[in-house]
Amino acid sequence: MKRLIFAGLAAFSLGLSACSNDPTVNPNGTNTTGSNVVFHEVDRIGKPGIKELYLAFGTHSGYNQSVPAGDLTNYGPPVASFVTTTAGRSAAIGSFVSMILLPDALIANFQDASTRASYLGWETGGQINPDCTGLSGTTFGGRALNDDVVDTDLGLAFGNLATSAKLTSAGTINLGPTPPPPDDGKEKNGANGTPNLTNEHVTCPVATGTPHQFPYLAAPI
Amino acid sequence: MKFARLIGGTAALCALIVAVLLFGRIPARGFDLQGSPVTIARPASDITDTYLFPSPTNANNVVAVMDVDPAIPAGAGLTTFFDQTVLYTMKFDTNYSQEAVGSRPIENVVIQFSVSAVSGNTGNQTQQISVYGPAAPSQTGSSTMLLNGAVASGTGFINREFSVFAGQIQVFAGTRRDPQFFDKTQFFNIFPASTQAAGPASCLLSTCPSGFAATGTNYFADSNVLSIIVEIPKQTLLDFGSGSGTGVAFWATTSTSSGS
Repeated sequence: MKRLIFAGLAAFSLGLSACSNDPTVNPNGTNTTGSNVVFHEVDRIGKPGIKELYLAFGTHSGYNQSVPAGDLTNYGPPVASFVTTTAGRSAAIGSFVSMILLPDALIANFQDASTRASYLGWETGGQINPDCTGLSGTTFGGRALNDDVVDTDLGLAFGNLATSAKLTSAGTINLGPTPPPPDDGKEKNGANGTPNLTNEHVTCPVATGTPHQFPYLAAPI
Repeated sequence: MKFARLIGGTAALCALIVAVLLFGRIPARGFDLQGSPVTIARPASDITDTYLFPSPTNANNVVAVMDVDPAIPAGAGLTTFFDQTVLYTMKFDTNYSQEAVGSRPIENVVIQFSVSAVSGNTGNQTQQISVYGPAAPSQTGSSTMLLNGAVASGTGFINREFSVFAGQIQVFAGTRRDPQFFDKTQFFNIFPASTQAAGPASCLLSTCPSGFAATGTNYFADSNVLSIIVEIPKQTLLDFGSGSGTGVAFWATTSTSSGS
């Protein structure tokens, strides 16, 4: 019986090694097949949730293996289509949402004197207030630990966050000359008999981190 | 005949292992939910979130974070490790605001991280972390090689802070409590198309016509992630480009030599 178990374990180990051709990257800066190994991307993220909310699962692999410089061309149309079809919003709002979210990278102004980051603050001039504790948005951009990025992403498609009801033209100048479109009155925010698709009602976590000491994120539980 | 049986057996074993990896961890996804079949099979290559914020302790610095391996259970954080075959990369485009809309960003400075095999005895295991850069990438795009001829700018160990690049950059790579908060379950009840499952249909048509509940549940309230956190002087990054820093793009990638 023991021999059978050992044989099984050996076969399992053989199977594991036979399944992967990826070399280990050694800690001294070399790797098992030399330094000329080319690595190919299997995942990429800048802004949170673009794939998960706006793009169908079948597109995710191709998205992960593409470069963000092509995002507006390659993924602008499906993002806008989600807004116009699933969310039922105007074409102008669909287009503006894609301009806000793409390319898939966090953008920050390193010259900005703000002491806090604020998701989409660079794109919207700090006019969106993602902080879950209620602090106002900043123009630094980037993303803070307390930013409610899910409600923000939902609010772009189903609320008024990507419209002139929320944004001024001056605040969105970093996106180019196209001004925020007018609100089409088709929000799905729980009002007027619509489903609530803009607020998942998840409260701030008890401990997101240690704000005044590196590494800032909270210890594991 | 024996060789054929060996090949057949190995193939079957591979299929079994892939199936276990694919379906064994499906419930445990971060906000990079259902990223792709590849990242589902390799949780430690699955980037859940990125963060970029001014340093709370030094106005000259920024903090960049990439989290991988979603929903590590409570208590399992210190026995969870990075994938030694994955190259973890933070990419920056410090010239972003100067580039044309529609063809940006293009990374001009990157920081790479590789990890060793897990070593040590049970209960006292560790992993060495090697940091490459910051440096201009040898090639831009979705394929890359180790920076500086694979000469690391510094090394440290998992779950311990250390510094590299002549002490300019603080690094932590290890387990942290997941800062993300998100009602993952209800999200996918409402928007099932982003999951790998073909169905079920959105609950909006049946059991949840009102959408999100009045009180949401944070699926990640009691879970951890593997975090790579760097604190770096803004100017160190800006020195690699020609921009003044009024628009700096940041994104994170994971890569393998096979691309799978």
